[in-house]
Amino acid sequence: MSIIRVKNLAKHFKVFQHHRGAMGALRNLFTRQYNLVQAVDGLSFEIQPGELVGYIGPNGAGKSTTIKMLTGLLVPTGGELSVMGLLPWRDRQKYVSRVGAVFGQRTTLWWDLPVIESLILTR
Amino acid sequence: MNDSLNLYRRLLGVQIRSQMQYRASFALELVGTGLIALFEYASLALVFERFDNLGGWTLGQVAFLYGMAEFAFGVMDMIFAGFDPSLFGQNVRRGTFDQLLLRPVNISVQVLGSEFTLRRIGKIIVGAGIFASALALNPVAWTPLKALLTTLMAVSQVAFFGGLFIIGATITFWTVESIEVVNIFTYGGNYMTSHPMHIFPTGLRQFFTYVIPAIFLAYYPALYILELPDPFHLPAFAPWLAPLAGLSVLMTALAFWRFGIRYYQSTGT
Repeated sequence: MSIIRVKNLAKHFKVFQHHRGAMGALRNLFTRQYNLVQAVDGLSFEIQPGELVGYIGPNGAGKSTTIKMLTGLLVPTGGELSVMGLLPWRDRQKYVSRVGAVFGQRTTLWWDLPVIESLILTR
Repeated sequence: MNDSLNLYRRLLGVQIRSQMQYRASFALELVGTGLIALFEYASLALVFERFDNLGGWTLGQVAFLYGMAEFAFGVMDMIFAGFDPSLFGQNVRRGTFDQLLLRPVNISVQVLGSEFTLRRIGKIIVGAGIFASALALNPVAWTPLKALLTTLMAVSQVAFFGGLFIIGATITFWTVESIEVVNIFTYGGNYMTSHPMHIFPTGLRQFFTYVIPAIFLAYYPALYILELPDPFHLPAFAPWLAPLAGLSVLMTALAFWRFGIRYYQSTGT
């Protein structure tokens, strides 16, 4: 029985098309053209309990986007996704109490206060 | 529910302690926000030196609206600062909203507890002072109903503008940057509620009656409490629409907020 099931998962972003330069900035105000960026498309895999896996790919391959869907931060555009029988974005609160994630270069400590305060808060 | 309250209390504690780390800065900000509010009011009060009334209302009567609006907006701005579109928009732009989503607790409570601008107390005190001066200049013949309506006025204004902040914050899920147009409703609405609304052009007044029901939050309750005639001849229950206007906007805002979270794009890696 797999713990993570991903089937045909997709996340598409509508990206506003940018024109360069001063004239381009002016055009940006009046034209609305979008490019559809398929950050993740047709992704399928299953992971069994106890499996230790890595997820590699070049810049822009959609690794972060996949992880963000797996942690319930992003709502997929299409496909199926379930972890421990939960749908991450819908069951977010229950789900994230059972998973851990660390993203690069993001501090979760409290500014202005001693480190101990951040630890007490989450207890 | 209990968990949420407990969480909110803890976040609030951390916020207050954070701001108290810089005492001199905090004291200056407190005095600063108070003085800004006071000078703004003074510039209005000076008009009465020349014209002695504003649309037929005395300084005491206008101060009733103005003090209430200043007080309630200050309270709202302190409590709902986490949803302030210009602040919240930065979380969306930088992708730092991720951190909140990764914590296994209610998301709205986290945003509410992510900012608590204690320095607004300066503005709140000045607002309360202006309101007190209004009562001194123009004594109100108090009845239990008038006292109730005064309380409802304050609560409804906080709920109403808090709701507008939440709507503004939600829009940033799509626009990323906070959009200035929301300020028309928040700061524009605040301006409208602090003045007797019959002095404004008909179109503007109707907009803040039927589209944004701000008129029921301040003007109509004030007519009832100060026993002034209604120039627009709305039904007698109009002053009592204040809590309805306030709560309906807040409820709608929360529903919109829950819907909008799905469109969060989580920038960065």
